[in-house]
Amino acid sequence: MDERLSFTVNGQGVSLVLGKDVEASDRLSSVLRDRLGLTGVRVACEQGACGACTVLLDGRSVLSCMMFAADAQGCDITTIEAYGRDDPVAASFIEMAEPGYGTAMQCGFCTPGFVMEAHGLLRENPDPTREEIRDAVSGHICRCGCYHGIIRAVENAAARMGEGGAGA
Amino acid sequence: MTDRMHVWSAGSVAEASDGASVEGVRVLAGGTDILGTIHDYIHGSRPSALVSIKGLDLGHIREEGGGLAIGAVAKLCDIADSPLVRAGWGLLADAAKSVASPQIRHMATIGGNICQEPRCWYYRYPENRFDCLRKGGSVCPAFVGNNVYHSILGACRVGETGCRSSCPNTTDVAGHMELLRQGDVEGAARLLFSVNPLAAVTGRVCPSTCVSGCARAEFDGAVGIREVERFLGDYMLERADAFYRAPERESGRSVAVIGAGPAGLTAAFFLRAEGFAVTVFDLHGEAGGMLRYSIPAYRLPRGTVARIQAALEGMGVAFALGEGCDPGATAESYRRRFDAVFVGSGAQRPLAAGIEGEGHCLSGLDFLYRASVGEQGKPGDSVLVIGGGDVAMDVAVTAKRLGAKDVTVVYRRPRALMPAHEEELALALEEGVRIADSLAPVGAVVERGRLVGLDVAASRSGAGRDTKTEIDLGCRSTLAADCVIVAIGQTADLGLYGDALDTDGRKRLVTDGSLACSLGGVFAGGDAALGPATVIEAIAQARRAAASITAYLGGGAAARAPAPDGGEGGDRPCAFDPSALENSDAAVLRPIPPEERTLCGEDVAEGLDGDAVLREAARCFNCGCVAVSASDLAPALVALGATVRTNRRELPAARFFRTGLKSATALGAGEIVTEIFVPAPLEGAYMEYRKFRPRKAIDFPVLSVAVNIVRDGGIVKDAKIVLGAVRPTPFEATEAQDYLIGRPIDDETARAAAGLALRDAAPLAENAYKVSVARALVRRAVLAAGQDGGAA
Repeated sequence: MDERLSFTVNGQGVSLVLGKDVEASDRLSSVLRDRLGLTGVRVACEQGACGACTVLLDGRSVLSCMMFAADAQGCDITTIEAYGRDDPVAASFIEMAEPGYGTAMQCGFCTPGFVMEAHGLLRENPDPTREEIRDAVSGHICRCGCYHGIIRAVENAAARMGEGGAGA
Repeated sequence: MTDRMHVWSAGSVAEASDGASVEGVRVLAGGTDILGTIHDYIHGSRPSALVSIKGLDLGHIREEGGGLAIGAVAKLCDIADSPLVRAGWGLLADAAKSVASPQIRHMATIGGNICQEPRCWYYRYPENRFDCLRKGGSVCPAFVGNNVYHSILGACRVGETGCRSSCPNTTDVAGHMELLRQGDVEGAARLLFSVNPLAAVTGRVCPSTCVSGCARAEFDGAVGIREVERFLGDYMLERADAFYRAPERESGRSVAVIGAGPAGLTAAFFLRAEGFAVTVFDLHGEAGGMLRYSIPAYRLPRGTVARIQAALEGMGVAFALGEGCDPGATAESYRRRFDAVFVGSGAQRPLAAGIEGEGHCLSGLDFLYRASVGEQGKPGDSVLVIGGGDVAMDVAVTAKRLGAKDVTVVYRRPRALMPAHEEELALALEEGVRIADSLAPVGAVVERGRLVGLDVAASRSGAGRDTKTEIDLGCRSTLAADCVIVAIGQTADLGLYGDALDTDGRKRLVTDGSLACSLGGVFAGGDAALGPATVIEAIAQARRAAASITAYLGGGAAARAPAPDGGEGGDRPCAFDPSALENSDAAVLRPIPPEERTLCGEDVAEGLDGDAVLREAARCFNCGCVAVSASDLAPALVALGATVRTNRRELPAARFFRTGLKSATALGAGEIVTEIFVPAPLEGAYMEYRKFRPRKAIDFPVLSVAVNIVRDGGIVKDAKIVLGAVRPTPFEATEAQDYLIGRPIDDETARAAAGLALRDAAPLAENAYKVSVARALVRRAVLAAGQDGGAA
């Protein structure tokens, strides 16, 4: 029988044949992007420094470029594709996308990583301080330099989720 | 990039260990270090397979008898957030929390953190660009390169230094240079003497391949290793009674040494030192072999060899030279009279050029022999020397100094391929010797029984000396000469005693790995076994052969010194002189002016004096790795007195971190960290981890300090102060700890402790700032311990 790599992505079960659909040594990021078409997973530095490839693995933020696909066996993976416009975190970023000082997203390349990180944070800590948010996103790089806006977007998301009383 | 490697999950530690015992297979835990190294190809190749231990049941964090047990694959985020860890071992939680970024902490494990490879950027440069010491190379590019983040407490030896690995006799050059820097000339001479009793010889005539391995060469010029060796060699001979000492006990066995050349003299020394009755036989009247009869006295004065012979006689070696040596003796007859035989008879039979009229030519070795005993007059006005090696150069210069007007070396390949060492060629050119290259000798031109020249033909050669030359007989000319000397090489001259011993196609004695010949109890070394080679190769072989003979005879009588640290890595610090980091000129020994040079006086009349030797020793980098231990958990675990448990043993954390080849741990092949045990904290301990880095997140520590201080009534009872990123392994500041114990903590004691912690700091060219930052970190951490209300 074929050896399979099985996990769930955004709530859907995925089962791939190892050695055929996917190699055990493929990066999780490339499986998500190239095999499953989840191109919201961004790959930039490939050395764990930029955070663009961040996804949630069993609810925790991880770098999908620094993981072998085989290591996701049996895990529950969430990518940016899980969230729509109404997602409180995504909505907070979109709301602050106007060009100019204080914007939370300019080119948008890094945004999926930040959104995933914010979800991971708010899941464990629904009411983070500014310092805790800074610490949480410290593994992400935004080359447009929108850090200030990003921090505020996460604060807004926390507030929005608090009001709505709903988790992600 | 897709990395098609076999990645598999181990079902048990034993299975993982079996898998990881295979060369090229690596253990995978969190992957945050290893995937980066694979992605960047820092080793130039990928692991053949990765065995993942992530799925093993080793993720626990639990109390164990008041202490803390953490499984190897426990994630850093779980350690940082664990209430258990936070309550008793806050230092560890802080250290874990300080690592990189949240995503990395969600993936990285404690086991992986303490096993991470060195973080030096030369080591980690993509595509294995720098073959640094830590990767098995011979140079540390960081030592004189970009070293802002590197060690401030010296280097650690990894593998062998370039000089040592480039020396046939594996002379520990860095070792004797270090002793010289400490002012211990005697110790330096002893260290060299322990492998080379002929240092006064090699200090003059060694081709010094060691210099090609000197890391300083690319900086501003290699260390003058041979010049220093000459000084130490002369030092030994000046104190011959103290150095060449008769053995304290006789072993009661006897050894015959055939040949009094460098191999024979070396073997005689080491065998005599073991208490054997040694007799050296040589058909020549004086000891030295090639040293006496071939290498001209202007390079190696006769007195040097005579003093070595006298020193050996002083330790009880008997010499049977000239008429005292029976020309009819054979290996078997020696073997019957002695318990063992060492054959070091050299390579003294000249090779013939195979040209017409060769009978009218002289042989280079005969020529040098006659010159060495004062029987050779001026060979002619116009001399041609056929050959291109060191002997040819010696012949040419000797001919010149005997009065020949024109001397030309005729070499059949291009000049660049000449086997002569550069220095010898340079001397010949300086003395007016001409080189006629790419010319093959065809025949001596003889008129009325008198030699008048040499017929030569143009020759073409491939790129190396192992290629055939093509001779164009259509393109011939005649070089006028009244003397032609053939010096194209020599071969072993085994004489009668060779009959009973197996030889190879090039007439070299066949020996096994222990240098034993085909006849029991007979061993060989030097040119007789190697074919024509260098003095240092003969010494190296004779030393090995002497050890084999000693073993063959059931051991000697010499007391065994413990084996020195064989450069296996580990933690051996390599101190260097800070002035080594500044540009300086290598010592050069200047020969006397050409017009004053003679055949029998040494060209280089004076060696370095003591001060110059010290300056040269100070130029030695004492090559070691200066990459720092970049693990945040490492200093914390050492400060907490933690133990690392592997599938094979338990190691105190302080001994787990090592400076190994491609590794920062003491782990052996197939050995896997399974658990970390941290003992119960002492009552009222103040713990803190302080880390200095450019950014608050992501970065590795530029410096870090872990303190674990216990006070009682305001007085320090126990103190652990461990610095990270200051040297290749975590540094426990024992002097600062000892100082603090029994004292209160205040500005003064905190400052003094910080001063002591960094007292031996030896910053590199670009990282002196780290010393002040480290001092500040220690001072502040200690002060914070003093202000901690709970502990007072």
